[in-house]
Amino acid sequence: MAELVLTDLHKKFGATEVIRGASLTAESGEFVVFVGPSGCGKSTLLRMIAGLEKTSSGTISIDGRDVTDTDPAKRGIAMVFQTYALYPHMSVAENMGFGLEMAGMAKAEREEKVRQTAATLHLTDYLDRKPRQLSGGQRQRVAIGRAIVRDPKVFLFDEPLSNLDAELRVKMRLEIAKLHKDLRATMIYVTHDQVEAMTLADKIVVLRAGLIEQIGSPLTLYSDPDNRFVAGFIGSPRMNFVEAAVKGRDGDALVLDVPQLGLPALPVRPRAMPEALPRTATLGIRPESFSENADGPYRVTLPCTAIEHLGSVSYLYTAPGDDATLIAELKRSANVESGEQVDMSIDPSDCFLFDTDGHRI
Amino acid sequence: MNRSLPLNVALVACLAFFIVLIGLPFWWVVSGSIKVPQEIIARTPTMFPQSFTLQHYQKLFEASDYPVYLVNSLLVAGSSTLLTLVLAIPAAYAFFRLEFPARGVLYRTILLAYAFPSIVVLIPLFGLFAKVGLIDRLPALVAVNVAFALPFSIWMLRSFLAGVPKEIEEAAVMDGAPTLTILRRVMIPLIAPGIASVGIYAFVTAWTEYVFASVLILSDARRTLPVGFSGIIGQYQIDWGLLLAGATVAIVPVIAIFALIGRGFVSGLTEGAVK
Ligand SMILES: Nc1ncnc2c1ncn2[C@@H]1O[C@H](COP(=O)(O)OP(=O)(O)O)[C@@H](O)[C@H]1O
Ligand SMILES: [Mg+2]
Repeated sequence: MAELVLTDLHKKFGATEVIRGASLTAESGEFVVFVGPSGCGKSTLLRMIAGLEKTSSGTISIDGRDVTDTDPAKRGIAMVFQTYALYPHMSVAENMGFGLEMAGMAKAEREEKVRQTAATLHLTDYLDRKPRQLSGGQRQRVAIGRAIVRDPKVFLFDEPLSNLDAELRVKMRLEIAKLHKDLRATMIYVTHDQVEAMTLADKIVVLRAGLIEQIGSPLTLYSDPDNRFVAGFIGSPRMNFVEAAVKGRDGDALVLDVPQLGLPALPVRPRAMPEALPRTATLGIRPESFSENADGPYRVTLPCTAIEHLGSVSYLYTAPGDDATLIAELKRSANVESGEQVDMSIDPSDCFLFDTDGHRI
Repeated sequence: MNRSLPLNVALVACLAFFIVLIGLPFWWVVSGSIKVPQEIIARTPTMFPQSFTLQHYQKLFEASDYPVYLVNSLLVAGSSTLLTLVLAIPAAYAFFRLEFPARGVLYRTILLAYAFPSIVVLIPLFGLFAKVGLIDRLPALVAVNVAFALPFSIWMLRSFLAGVPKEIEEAAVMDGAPTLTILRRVMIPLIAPGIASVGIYAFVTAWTEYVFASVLILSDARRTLPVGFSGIIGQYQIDWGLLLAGATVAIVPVIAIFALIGRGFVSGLTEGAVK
């Protein structure tokens, strides 16, 4: 258990700056998830914490100790790689015991420790096997075991589940959540899968192009995103964005004309009333915020061009494949067919407003 | 994989051609070495031996210096191979892993060793060895063999090292292993096929090296097989049986080393490490 503090970290590869000022605190025992699109710098940031990449500027400290230039092995950190990175020529037991051996632990003690850890991960029967004799899920557990056995202060995971099939991914996700509960260790977890992020995290860090866009609990990011990027990234299917003209103000709400939804006067409360009214704004509304109750005051009629039935819910698309498509979640009307016009209504309090730069209004 | 019948036939024919091309001389040498002299020089050559005798081998080992040459050659080739590996592995790892000034330039420069035909460096090398007292001594041959095998060995091993997934090495770093421990405990086992190939390459070049062995060694008792054996043949009128027996014996260590370390050629060593 340890507190991890990053202060204004920068990382340059040659001339390109990949991490452009990252500051964040992971409390002791916290599960922090880095999410963001591919190439945004998640792995790089994680590898800087591990010490596998040198930091260009800024500091990393663990429990108050500055480890920015400390050797990876001396930081009290263990890392689980996306590709598992097991030693192929060593048995499971040797894989797990290698770090302990390097730390100078006596053989008997080491073996006992490996046995205990293997038992918690259901690997006891596989201790003598080589990695190639294991299934993907077992390999992943060995990689996790190799990390746990050293009692690190901080665990780092780099997309540990992305090589597993969907079913196993869910299972391992739950195992990792349980592991975190049992160990109460500080964990930093990289993923581009927002379901993993939402389900595992105490705190999500959303990254884009080397910058932290927002830090917050999963529900905060979902219900109160700071900007259009976070709003679009968290939530599945993604939030709908439509352009709107600002007509004026009515009390603490902005009155919007939203032609795409056929709503001439939609009053939406901004996060904070801007000093000067903008002329236009982007309205954000989540697919799940459409209600099939078509008798509300703000009625919307959407053409159903394609529909996906998932069983419990269905997704209606107005222009499938197009970025400008609207997606609405239908809870009941599983009998809607493409080509129909579907009447729904929305609640202004479910709507978000963004300015032309993507900042939340 | 599905191949069409004509392609299969063509492949088999091709394979058969090369087997005959390479195998026939071997068969000729080995089978000839157990024929009685009359059969060897018979007007119509026999594909399969009609007679059997070990007289050529007896003569080779009891009445010639062949055993001495054999031991010398084994010493030279064995030490050259070992020394090449001992030097090439750390050098390749250094070129692969460590950052140091002029690394790229140095890495390409070592291949300059192959820019000159050996005959060109022979005379200066003779002078050099004469100064340090290495003329007519087996270590001189070892030094030459190693010097010529090293650049290629380093190149080869470096590309094998580059084939090891980076994360495995990083995992070892995270586990707290020092660089040399990573090399010894993680990298060397993973590049065993590369080490085996380099070992065989170094052994075979040293085993067959003729030019330097003929010039740097003066006394008969220190000659290696290629040089010493060519002396045996010319010494009397050509004794075909003796020649074939000697050639057969000379093949044995090469085959032995293939069988011994060829086992390192198992592919898929890193299987199960990543993904
Ligand atoms: N060793 C490196 N040298 C140069 N560029 C790199 C290196 N490692 C990563 N990058 C670049 O940094 C950016 C972020 O990479 P990465 O952290 O792997 O992204 P993510 O894990 O979020 O997908 C990418 O544009 C990538 O090309
Ligand atoms: Mg990554």
